[in-house]
Amino acid sequence: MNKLQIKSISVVIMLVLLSGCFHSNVLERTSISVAVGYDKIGEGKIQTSSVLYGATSKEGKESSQVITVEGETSKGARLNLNQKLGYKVVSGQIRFIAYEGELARDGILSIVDTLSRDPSYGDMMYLAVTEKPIRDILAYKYPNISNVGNYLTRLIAHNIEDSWVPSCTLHDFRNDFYSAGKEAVLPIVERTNNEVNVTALALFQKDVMVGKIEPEQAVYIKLLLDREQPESLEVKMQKDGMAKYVKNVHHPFETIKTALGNLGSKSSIKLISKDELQFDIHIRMNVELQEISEDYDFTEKGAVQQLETELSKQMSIDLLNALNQLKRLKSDAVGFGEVYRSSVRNSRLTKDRWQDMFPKAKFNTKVTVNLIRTGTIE
Amino acid sequence: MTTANMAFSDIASYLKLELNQLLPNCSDLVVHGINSSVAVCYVSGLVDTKVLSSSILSVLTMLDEDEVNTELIRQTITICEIEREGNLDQVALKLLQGHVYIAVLDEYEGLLCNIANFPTRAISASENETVIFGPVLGFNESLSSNIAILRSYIKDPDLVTEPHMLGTKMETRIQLTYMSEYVDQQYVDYVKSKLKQIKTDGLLGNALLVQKLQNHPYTIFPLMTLTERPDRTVQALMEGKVVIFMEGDSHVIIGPSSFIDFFLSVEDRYMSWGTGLFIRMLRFIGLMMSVFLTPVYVAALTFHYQMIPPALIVSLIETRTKVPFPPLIETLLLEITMELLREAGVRLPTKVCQTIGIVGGIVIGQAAVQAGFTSNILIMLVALAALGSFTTPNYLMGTSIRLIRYPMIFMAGLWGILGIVFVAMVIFIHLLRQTSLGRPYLFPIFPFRGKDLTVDMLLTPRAHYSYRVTPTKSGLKSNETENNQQSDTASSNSSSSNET
Repeated sequence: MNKLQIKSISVVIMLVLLSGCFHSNVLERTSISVAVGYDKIGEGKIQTSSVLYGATSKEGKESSQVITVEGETSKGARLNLNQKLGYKVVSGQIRFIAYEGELARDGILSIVDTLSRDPSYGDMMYLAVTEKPIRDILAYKYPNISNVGNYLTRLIAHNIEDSWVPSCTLHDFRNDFYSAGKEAVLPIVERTNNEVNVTALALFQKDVMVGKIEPEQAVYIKLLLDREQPESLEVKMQKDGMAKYVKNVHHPFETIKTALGNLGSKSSIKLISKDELQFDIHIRMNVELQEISEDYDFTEKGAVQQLETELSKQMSIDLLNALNQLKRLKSDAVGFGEVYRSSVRNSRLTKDRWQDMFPKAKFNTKVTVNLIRTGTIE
Repeated sequence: MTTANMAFSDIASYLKLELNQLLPNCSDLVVHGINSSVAVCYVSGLVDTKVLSSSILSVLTMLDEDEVNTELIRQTITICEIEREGNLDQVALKLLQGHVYIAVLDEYEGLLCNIANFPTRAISASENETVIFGPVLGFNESLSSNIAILRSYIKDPDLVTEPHMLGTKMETRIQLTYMSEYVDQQYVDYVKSKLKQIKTDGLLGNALLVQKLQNHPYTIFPLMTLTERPDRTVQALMEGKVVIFMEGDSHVIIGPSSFIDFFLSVEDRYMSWGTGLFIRMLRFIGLMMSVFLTPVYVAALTFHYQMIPPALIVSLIETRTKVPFPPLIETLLLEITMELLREAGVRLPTKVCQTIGIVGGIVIGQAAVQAGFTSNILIMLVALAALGSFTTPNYLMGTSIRLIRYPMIFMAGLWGILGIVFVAMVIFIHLLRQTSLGRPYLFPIFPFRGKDLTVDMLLTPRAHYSYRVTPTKSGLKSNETENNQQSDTASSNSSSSNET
């Protein structure tokens, strides 16, 4: 036998023998999990609920199956999951993971850590928090939702893209957790009767949930945070200088409500004084007016400019309120710490130091609104 | 001959005796005595009987029996190719090539007239390489008429046709053809040296000659193009390539060829660059689909459920749960069914072929899914893959592409995507090692020549005017656009037709 023959025979043997070691996951012989929720039940015990693709239905509709098990750790719970299922549970299709609020208030690092350690989990799955036990959300029989796991994923994804929810992937969470000057935010998901919806944002200190922020304020955080921007936002202002442009007053009013479509915004955060910890926050927005509560007369001279100034004024107040809310909860979701760290030489900023410093920060907010279209013929 | 002649009163019976010894069991040998002193012999079927009777027999019968001699015959009969020959061994050989031998009593030398007319088929449209647009003419099995077709395109003394003989028994005639001005001499030398090395009784067709000319005997890829289209041949000649014609084969060999050449059709040049490019791209997409589609299905379903988009996973699970086999077996089963259908379609007479279509469409398509034999999605993928492999313009390459799918499916079933990459790498390394007439097989890609690649792929307007943008020197660029501009327009009908 010459060398080539020995080589080729050994290759064939290698193909045959080594292939046996390779572990296969044949699609229909696995239980594919699409969403997982963790509830706290008693001290040190975790209840894991998992949404799986169910046995096929005749109509070919998406169907799901929810299994709940208990365990000391999340990994232990997953092992217990296998005892209840005909096929091995696999986690490569999980795109949504939720933690019960109580669990989140105790800290969720251990579970998040397991997720990032296991390569079969994707990095881009969404994390969320719930106020009530997750089992109620996942196991509920919704009349209009066939697979609640996939539904929740879509819900979060489109809200990140179009609305006020900041990106909340596992990757983002870990990135925020390990960065010195920024804290994580996760959306809060709730079930009301037959619907699930995103209600607020949960604010974190490290891996511990410390409070929440309402959508009206969350919009401003999203404006400062992401490349993706909210498509629209609502602003409510005092009538003040605008009263004279309102025609046909049918009823007395104190405030004017507007809905704005966001056509593109730019935000900048600058550290003005490192000793007083003063930040300049400036948002420039191009907007179109989608709705206004009163019969506003745009044809009149100065009307549009007046609206712009009032909007700018009101929005900078709202922005400041949102930031003060963060300050109160000591959770720097925007990442002022990162601005500080990159502006101050040799700052040696650590997470703990920034947590002490952040409540002392002062913000000068400024919003410049540029009203591009009013939606009416002028 | 004179002495021997004396024993016989007429030349015909003498010739019959002698030739029967040289060609013992040759039943189609005809020896025809005109009169006692003149005889004609030939092999029936090889000569043109019309010429024989009108130009030879009618003249010979007019001549006076007593005054006849070879010189007189030579002057009277109206055949151009006449030579004198006295050696009967030579005569026997020539008779087998379609000559007529005229012998005269009492003369040592007879006359050999070439009126050969080997049975051949008329020139017709090329059937295997069909085009919708452009000249439809195809070569036939006759070497001389093929060369004639070629000369009708290129009327230039630069066109070299070198005759060679192959084989000890069959004596296959081949013609090495190239444009002496454009060709890279190293290709010509390469072919000549290879031809010298060939030891065989004879070759039945050019496809066998290709195998003898390539370096790597075990490759499954065709290393040289076989075509029966004159316009493609002319284009290759103008690009400075070597073309080999063979007597008895309508296909000619074009070399050197690169891997990409097999996916290009002459027709592409006849279209505008945009449509041409689109169709070329379509073929490469077809290639990718036919090679990778089913292996990726096997890999994704066996190992990589993570890759499957959530919208697809539900319907996949649904169809797969009914199937009793693992994805690997399921796919191999269906792919082999597909190949069986194709092979059956080729072998059966055309009239029965329709039945195959029905069997394939109804039985395999519908019943297999309903019986829970395969999944719907796989049937679609296999059909797409088959469709992709049909788009390859070259039949030999199309077959090779079909073949490499199987190791890929197999390895995908064993190792998943890793297996696909593994097989793809093995094939890629294999391709890198191949040469065609000494030029790398993957030429414009490796060694990388961006300019050639763009001309090949993009069909820039320049590619229409000049054929010589593709290099002739292996690896070296030679770009003589201006030189051959003139000869192009003069000689090639095909290129000028598409500019209008």
